[in-house]
Amino acid sequence: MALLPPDPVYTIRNVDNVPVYSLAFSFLPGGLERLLAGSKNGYVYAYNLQTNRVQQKIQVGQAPILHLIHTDSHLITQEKGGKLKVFELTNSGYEEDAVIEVDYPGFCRFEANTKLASLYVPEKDYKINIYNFNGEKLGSLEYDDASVKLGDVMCLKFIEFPCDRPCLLAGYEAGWLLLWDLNTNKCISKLQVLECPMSVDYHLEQQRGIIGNASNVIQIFNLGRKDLSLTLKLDVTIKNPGINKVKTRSDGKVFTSGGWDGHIRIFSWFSMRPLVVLTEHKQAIQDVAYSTEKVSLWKAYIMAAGGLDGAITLWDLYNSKQ
Amino acid sequence: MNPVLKEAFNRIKPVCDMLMVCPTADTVSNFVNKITKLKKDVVQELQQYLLFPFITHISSTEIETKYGLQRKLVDGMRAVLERVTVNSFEMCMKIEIGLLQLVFDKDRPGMIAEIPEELKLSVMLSLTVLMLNMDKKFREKLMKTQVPLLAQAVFVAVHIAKLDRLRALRLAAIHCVTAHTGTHASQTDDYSIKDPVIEKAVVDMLSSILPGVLAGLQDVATCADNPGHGVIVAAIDAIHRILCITMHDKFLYKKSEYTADDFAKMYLEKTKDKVDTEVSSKKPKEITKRSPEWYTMAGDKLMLVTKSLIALRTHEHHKVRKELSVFCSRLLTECNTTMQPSIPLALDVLIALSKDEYSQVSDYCATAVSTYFSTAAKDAKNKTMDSLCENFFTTLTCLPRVLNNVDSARKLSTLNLLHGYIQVLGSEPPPQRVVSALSVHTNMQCLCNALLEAAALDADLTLLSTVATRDVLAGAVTDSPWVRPRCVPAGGLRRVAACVRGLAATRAADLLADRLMQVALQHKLPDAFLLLNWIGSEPKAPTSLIERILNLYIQEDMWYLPLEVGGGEAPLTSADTLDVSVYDPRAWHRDSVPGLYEGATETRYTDISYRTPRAAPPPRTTLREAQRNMLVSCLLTEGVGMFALTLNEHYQPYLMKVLCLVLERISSPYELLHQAGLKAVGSITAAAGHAGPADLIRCNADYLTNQITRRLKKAWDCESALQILSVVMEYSDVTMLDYMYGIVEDVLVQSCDKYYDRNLESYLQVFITFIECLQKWFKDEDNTDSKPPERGLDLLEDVREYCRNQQEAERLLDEGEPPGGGQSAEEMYREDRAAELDDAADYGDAVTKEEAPVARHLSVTAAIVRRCVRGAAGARGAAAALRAAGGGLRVLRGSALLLPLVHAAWPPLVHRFEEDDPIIMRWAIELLVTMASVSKDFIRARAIKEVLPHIYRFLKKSSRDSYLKDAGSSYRLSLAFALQLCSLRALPRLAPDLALAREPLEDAMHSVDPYLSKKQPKPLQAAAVKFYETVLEYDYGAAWHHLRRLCRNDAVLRPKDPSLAPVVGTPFQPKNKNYENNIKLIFNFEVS
Repeated sequence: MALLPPDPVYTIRNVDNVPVYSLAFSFLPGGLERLLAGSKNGYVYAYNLQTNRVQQKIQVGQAPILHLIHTDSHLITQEKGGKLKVFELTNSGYEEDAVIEVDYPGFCRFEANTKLASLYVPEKDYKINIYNFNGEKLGSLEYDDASVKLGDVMCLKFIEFPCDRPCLLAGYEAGWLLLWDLNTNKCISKLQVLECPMSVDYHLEQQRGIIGNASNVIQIFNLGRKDLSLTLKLDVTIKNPGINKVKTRSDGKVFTSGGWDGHIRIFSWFSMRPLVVLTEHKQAIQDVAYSTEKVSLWKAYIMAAGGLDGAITLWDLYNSKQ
Repeated sequence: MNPVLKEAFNRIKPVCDMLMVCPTADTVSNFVNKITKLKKDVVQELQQYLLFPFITHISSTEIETKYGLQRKLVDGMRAVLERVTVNSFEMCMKIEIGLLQLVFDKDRPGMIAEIPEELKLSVMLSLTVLMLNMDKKFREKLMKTQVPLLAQAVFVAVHIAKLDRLRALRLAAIHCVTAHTGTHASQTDDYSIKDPVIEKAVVDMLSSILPGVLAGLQDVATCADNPGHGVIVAAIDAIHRILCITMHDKFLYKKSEYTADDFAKMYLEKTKDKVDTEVSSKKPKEITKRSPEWYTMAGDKLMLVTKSLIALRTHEHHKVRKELSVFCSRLLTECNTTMQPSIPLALDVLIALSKDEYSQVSDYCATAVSTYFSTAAKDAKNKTMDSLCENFFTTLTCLPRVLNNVDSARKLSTLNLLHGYIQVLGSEPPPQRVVSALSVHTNMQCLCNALLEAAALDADLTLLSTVATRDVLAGAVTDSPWVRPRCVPAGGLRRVAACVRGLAATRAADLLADRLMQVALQHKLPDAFLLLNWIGSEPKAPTSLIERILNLYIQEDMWYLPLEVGGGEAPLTSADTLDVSVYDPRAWHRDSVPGLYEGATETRYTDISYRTPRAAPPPRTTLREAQRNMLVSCLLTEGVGMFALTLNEHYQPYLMKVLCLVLERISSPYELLHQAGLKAVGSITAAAGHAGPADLIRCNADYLTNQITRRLKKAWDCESALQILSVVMEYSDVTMLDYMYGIVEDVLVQSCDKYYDRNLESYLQVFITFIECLQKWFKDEDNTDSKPPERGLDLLEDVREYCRNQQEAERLLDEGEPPGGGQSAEEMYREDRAAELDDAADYGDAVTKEEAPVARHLSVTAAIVRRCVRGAAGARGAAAALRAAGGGLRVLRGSALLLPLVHAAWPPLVHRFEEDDPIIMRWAIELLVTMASVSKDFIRARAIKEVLPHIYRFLKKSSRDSYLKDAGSSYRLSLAFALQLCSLRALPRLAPDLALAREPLEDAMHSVDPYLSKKQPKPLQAAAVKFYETVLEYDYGAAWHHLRRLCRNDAVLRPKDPSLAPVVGTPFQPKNKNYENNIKLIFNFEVS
C-alpha cells in the first residue's frame, strides 16, 4: 500500500463559493498576515491567516481577477479583458490610484518590478508594454524580426540578475521563450519550446526555469550565467495534461505545478522527480503561491493553492522541521 | 447616725444577732432577704457590722465539716459584698484569709481541700466579688504588700480550674484568677489597666508568679477531657490578659544612648565572666525581674505556652478559634519584641485562621495580619517574611504526611495555612518573595510534591461506566463528578485550588507550570492535570503560559489515551501474515514506493514521511491504567473549557482545533467523558459570548467542516469524524444546513469507496441522524400525512355507490381492459425506463433553459437514499440502510425526485423479502409502508405480485407458531413475534395506500383471518381487529362480504324495504366461537 497524499493544514471554503483565479500573500507590518484571493466575480477576498476567515472583501470590477500582486504599499490587480488597477494602501483602506486600460483578451499575467515600481503588461500582437504605478506608459518590448511569428504573449517572469541587470522572460503563443534585457529593451536570447507555454518560472540560484503548458510535459530550461543563453534541459512527464501554473519555492528545493486535473504536483529541484501529488482540489488549479514569511498560526512557510472549485488549500509540506 | 440608718440598723440587728448566735440555713436566708430590702448606701455604711457574723463563722472550727451551712454563709457574705465597696483593709484581709482557708489544704494534691464543689464555687465567686468590690487604695496596698497571699489565692484558683470537673466552678475559678491579678474584664478597659500605679503593682506581682499561673491556665485551655468551649475561651482570655500585661513591650527597658557607666558595667561583667562561667548559666531565679535578660528568658519559656495553645486552632468551636486569634493578635501588637520567639507561631495561626469558615474569625484574623504588615517596620517585616518563608516550606514538607492522616480538621487547617502563606508571601509588589524562594530547585520540588499529594484523585470503576441516555440539549453541566479527592476532605480541594491559583498569579507561575507539565508528560498523572487546570483558570496567569498548557493538552498522544480495558489489537497471527518484517498488513506506510502513481508520495529524497502514520497499536491497557486515562481525559476536556474562559479573545486560533476535539468527547460512549465534553462546550460558548452551543457551532462551522472533512479522509479518523458529525447534527438547526450538505456529500463520496467499508455502520448511522434532522427541520412540509375525513355509516349511499360502480364496470368491460390494473411489471418497468430517459433528456435541456433548482436538502437526501438503496442490497448494514432509505423517502415526499428513487429501491427491497431474516424483514416492511404512503399506487402492481405474497405466506405460516402462545410464552420475546406484529400493523396502512381491491384485498383479509381467533396472542388480535376496522372504513362492502363468509352462519337479515330479498348469513355472529369476541369488537367500534 502506498502512502496517502498528505492533507492541507487548512482548507478555506469560500462562503460565496466562487472560483479562485489568483492568490497573493500579504504581510503587513504590525503582524497582519493575509492571503488575498482574486475571484471570478471580480472581488478580492482578504483572508486573515490567524482565523482563516474573510476579513475584507474588496470589489475591483466585474470580470474575473486573473492576477494580483501585493507590495508593501500597493495592491495591483489584473482583470480578464486586460484592465489593470493599482490600489494604494492607506489608513482608510485600499484607494484606487490608477487604472491601466489594456486591450488584451488572453490569460497572460502581468509582471512587476517592485523596486522600480514598474509593470510589464502584455498587449495585443506580441507586444509588452511597460508602465509605472501611476499608469504612465514608459516603453514597450517589441520583437522586430518579422520572419519569426511569435503570437500573443502567454506568460511573463521578471528576473533581477546580479549587477543590476533586470530581465524579463516572456513566453509566446507560437512556442517561443524570449529573454528581454530591460536596460536596453532588447531581446538577448530565445528558445523554441514544445508548445504554447502557459506559465513560466525561474529560480536564480538553480539557474533553471520551468515551463508549464497544455500538454502532459513540464519543460525545464537552463539560462547560461555568462551569456544568458536559453537552452532546454529536461522534460518531465506527468499523468494528466494541462498546467495552469508553475511556481518555484524561493529556497530552490522544490517547485510546484497546478494542473487542469485539479492536482498539485510538487517536484524536487534536486532529483527532478515528483515528490507528491496532492489531490485535494476537485477542479482545475488556477494559482499557487508561496508565503514570503512564516505564517504565525502554523509557524511555517505556507503554500496556498486555489482553483475553480472555490476552495483555497494551505499546505505545509517539505519544510524541514527542526 | 442619721435616722434612716438608725431605723435600718434596728431592723437588721435582730437578724444579725440571730445569725451570730445561731448560724443555720434559715437564719442566713432570712438575713439575705432582709439585706436585699435595704438601700445600698445603708448596706455600705453598715458593712462591717453585717459582715462580722460571717467572718467569725467562716473561720470558726465549730461548723468545720458542715459544708452546707458553710456554703450558705459564704453565699450570704457574697450577697453583702456585692452591694458594697469594701472600706476596711483589715476586714478585707480577714475575709480573704477566711475564705482561702476553706478551700486550701496544703497536704492534698493541688493543695485544694476536699470539700464539695458547690462550696468551692461559692468561695470562688465570693473571692472574685471581694477583689472586684475592693476600694482602689486597698487593692493597691494589697498588691504591694500581700503578694504571697494573693499568689496563694491565685494558685488555689488555678488548680481548681485545672483539677475540678464542674464547669461553672472552673469558670468561676478562672475569673477568680483574673480578679486576683487585676486583669478581670471589669478591672480593665479594653485589656489595659488605666491606672499606672496599679498597673505597676500588677506587673510586679505577676512577673514573680507568671510561670505557675500560665502553666496552670495552659493546662486548662488544652485540657483533653472536653471541658466545654466556655472554659477554654475563658482560659485563653485569662492567659492573654495576664501575659500581655506582663510582657508588654513598653516595660522592656531599652537604652537609646550608652554612657560610660554602661561600659564600666559591661567590663565588670566581662571580668566576672572569667571568674564565673557564663551569663546563661545563671539560674533563672537569679535574674533580675523584668530586666532585658529576664524578658528574653521569659519570651523563650513562654513560647512553650504559645506552642501548646496553637494546637487549638483546629478546635471545632469558632469562639475558641476567635479567642485564640485575639491572643495571637495581641501578641503581635503588644508583645512583639518581648515575645519574639512566639511571633511566627502567632502569625501562622492568624494566617491559617484568616481562611476560617466563620466570617467573624476570618475577618478578625485577616485584619490583624494586614494591620501587622502595614504597620510593622521594614526590618521587622523582612525578618518575619523570612521566617514565614521557612515555615511555608516546613508546612509543605509536612503536608503529605498531614494529608495521609485521618484528622480532617488538621488537614483543612494546614491547607488554610498554606493558602494564607501563599497570599502573604505573594502579596508584595513583584518580585515576590515566594518567587525567589521557589527558584531553588529543591523548594520547587517540595512544593510540587505537596501539591500533587493534595490534588491526588481517586479512581474507581464508576469512571468507566458508559452513557445510558444522551441528550446534548439537556442543559449545562456545572460540577465535575470525576474530581474525587483521595485524601483531602470535602471542601479541602477548593482550598488547594485557591493555593494553586494564588501561585499562578505570581511570577512563579511559569516555574510551577513547567514542572507540572513535565510530570504530566512523563507520568500522565491526573493530579498534575488538575493542578494545571487550576493554573490555567487563574485570570492573572500569563497568557503565554496558558497557551503552552493548552498546546500540551491538545497533542494527539495526550488527548487520545487508550480507555478500553485490555484494548489494543490482538497480535498478528499466521493467518494475517507469515512474516511481519516482510509484510505487515496493518502498516500504513512502506519504506519505499515501487512505482509512483497518482496520489502517492515519494519519501526517498526528502525528510517527509507521512504526517500521521498509523501509530503502533497501544499496549494492552490494564483496568487501573484505563481508569487513570479516563480521569486524565476528563480533566483535559474540562481544562480546555476552563482555559477558554481565561483566554477569551486569545482563544480564537485554538477554536479551530479544539472545537472538534470537544464535540468528539460529547459523542463519547463514556458517561463522564460525555459530561466533561458538555461542560467544556458550555465554557467555550460562555467565553465566546454565544447564545448557546448551537450558536457556537454555527459561527465556527467553517472550522468544523475543515476538521471533519480532514478526518473523513483517514481511515483511522473516520470513526471520530462521524461521531463529531452526529453531535453537530444534534446541536444544530436548519441554519447549519448549508455547511452540512458539503460534509454529507463528502461522506457519500467516501462511503462509495470500498476502502471505508469497515465503517459502514457508522456511515449509515450518520445518514439516519441527518435524515432525522431533516425531518425535524422540515416538519411543516412533511406534515401532509393527514387522515381521510371521518365518514359516518350511510348504507344507502353505499348501495348507490355499488350500483354506480357496477354500471361503470359494465361500461368498462364493454370498452376493454381497465387501464393499469392488468399491466405486467415488465411493462411498467419499461414505461419507467422510458420516463427516466425522458427525464434525462430534460436534464440535457436544462443547460439552456433555467429550471427551478431542486431544494438542496432534497437533492442531498436523494443522494443518500440512492446510496442506501445500494447498501440495502449488501450483506452488512442492510437494516440501517433500509431505515435510512425509508426516512429519506419520507423527506422526499411530493418531490420530483421521489418516484425514480422508489423505482430504484424496489429490486433490493424485493430481494430482502425473499430472505428469512426477521430483523431485515421488519425494516423492509417499514420501508414498504413508507413507499406506499409516499408513492401510493405507483407500486401497487409489483407489490401485489412480488412482495405481498411473501407477507401473507409469513403470516399464515407463523399463525400456527403463535397459536396458544399466552402472555408468559417465550415466543412473545422472539423476533418472529415482533415481525408478525409489525406485518399485521403494516397491512391496514398498506391496503388503502396501495388502493388494494378485489382479490388482492381479499387475499390480505384472508391472511389476517387466523388472528381474529381468541387463541392468538392479544396484541396480534388487537392488530387484526384494527386491520378490519380500517378496511371497513376503506371498503365497507368488501370487508362485510368477507366477514360474512368467515362467519358462515345461517342468520337471516331482513331489509326494511320488503321489495328487497332477505340475506342469508350475517357477518356478526361467527359459527366458530373463537372469532366471536373480535368480530364483535370490529363492529362495536364501527357502530359506536
